[in-house]
Amino acid sequence: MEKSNRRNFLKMAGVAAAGLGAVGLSQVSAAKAAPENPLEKYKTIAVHARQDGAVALVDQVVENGVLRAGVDLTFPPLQFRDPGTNEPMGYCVDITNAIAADLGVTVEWVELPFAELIPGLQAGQFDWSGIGLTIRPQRAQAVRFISEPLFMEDSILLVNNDFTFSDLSELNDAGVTFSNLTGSAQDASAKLQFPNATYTTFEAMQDSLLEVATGRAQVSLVALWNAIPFIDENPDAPVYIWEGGSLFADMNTIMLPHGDEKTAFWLENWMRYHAAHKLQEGLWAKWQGENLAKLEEYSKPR
Amino acid sequence: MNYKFQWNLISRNWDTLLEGLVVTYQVAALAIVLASILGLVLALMRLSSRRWLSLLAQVYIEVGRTLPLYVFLLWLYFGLAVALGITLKSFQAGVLALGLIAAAYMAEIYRAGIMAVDRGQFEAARALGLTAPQIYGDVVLPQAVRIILPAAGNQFVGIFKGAAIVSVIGVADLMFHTRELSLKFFRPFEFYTTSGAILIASTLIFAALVAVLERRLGWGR
Repeated sequence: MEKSNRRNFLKMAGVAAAGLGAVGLSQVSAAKAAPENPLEKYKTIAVHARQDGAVALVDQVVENGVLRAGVDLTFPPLQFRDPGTNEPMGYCVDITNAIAADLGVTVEWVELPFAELIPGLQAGQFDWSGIGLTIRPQRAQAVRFISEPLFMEDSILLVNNDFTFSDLSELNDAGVTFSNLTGSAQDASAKLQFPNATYTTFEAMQDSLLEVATGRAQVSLVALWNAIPFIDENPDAPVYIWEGGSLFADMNTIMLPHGDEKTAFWLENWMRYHAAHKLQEGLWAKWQGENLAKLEEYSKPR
Repeated sequence: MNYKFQWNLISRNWDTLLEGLVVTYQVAALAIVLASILGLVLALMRLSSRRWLSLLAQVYIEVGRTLPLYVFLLWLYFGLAVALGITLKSFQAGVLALGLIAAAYMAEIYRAGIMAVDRGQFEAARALGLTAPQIYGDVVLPQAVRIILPAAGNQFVGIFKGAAIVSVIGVADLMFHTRELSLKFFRPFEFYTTSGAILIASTLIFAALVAVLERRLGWGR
């Protein structure tokens, strides 16, 4: 009895191995056989495409009385949880609440890790994002970004004290290790600007910055308002912000599914109207003013 | 939901996934070696007549069996670096975390196998004047291995599955590349399904090898 059980088990394992081998071979041969369109790899299919006659999201939200906003609440001071009350707060939270107030609805915060927000939107887990994402062209194939900025994101270099360089070109070397947030715009931009450097990525922002503090990575390309709170919370961390300032400033804005032009237009119109009435400017000063004041102090090795 | 699958992305990135799988195998293999050696040492300590040795091993085994791997991994990689300045490379930390935790389980597996050998074997070997290393090396362990192997095989499979977690500290293994690719192309279903299938197949192959070894050693006869 035992022998036949083992025999059956071995047969099953053999089939699995053969199957794995067959899949591998078929994929290789498929890749070799198909003529390659160089643009094919950039093609993604937009889901939730709203054809004529479909109900716009903004109308659905008003009808349902609730806006499902996709967020990752781990990025102070843009969007995070109050340590005392655990309530969502921050610049993007205030903007989303203001949008909901104008629509006369409540907000349901649909929390997902940052890296899962686009798949989450594609899966219909929320209506539109309650935070801003960088308008990377590759992302724009999968989602619709509104054309008005939620904010402009300055990306700076957080550097370990033991690492010095006089020119940015020195970072483009295999001996320099970058530690970035997995799937972030900064990670993608760093790999374009410094293709010869070595990269490691982490799912948690804190971990990627800690990697620089421990010296295992020399530098991280990170948003200014991620670097400053990290230094605030870790005053003994041997890191500093490169004195050369912002490498670039990316537009970050709300994303929603492709094809819903009415909702996109409504959001863009809302942003333009309230920008003229200085809502965004006031909230930005409220949430970012302190950060910007610390920039010069944190731009020296500590 | 109108989702269109793009399985061609898997074939385009097959080499990257395969590179990651090799790293997963390396981490698991080294962790298995570490757990096997350290586990045996701990088992012998646990069986020692010297009380302090036995107690030391017992503490290690209890902590190892109750400590979550994820917590220990982060502590080893980040905690030691920040608090004590001990900076392990991510690969080293991954192997150590897996191996040190698994050693606690292996110790109990070894101990159960050794204790299953008839006491008469120990006494006869001692009566023949064999030393302790000779008793364990030539008499007890060869008999115990038939009992140890099935449980050890299960543990090795567990180590292999546990190796999937080391990507959280940046080890460029299969799960690391799967996550990066799924984010790059926004195709989590295709990439995670493929990686899951690869890991299942690998686990089945490994379990089959253990089964062959069991049969060769005459398990059950």
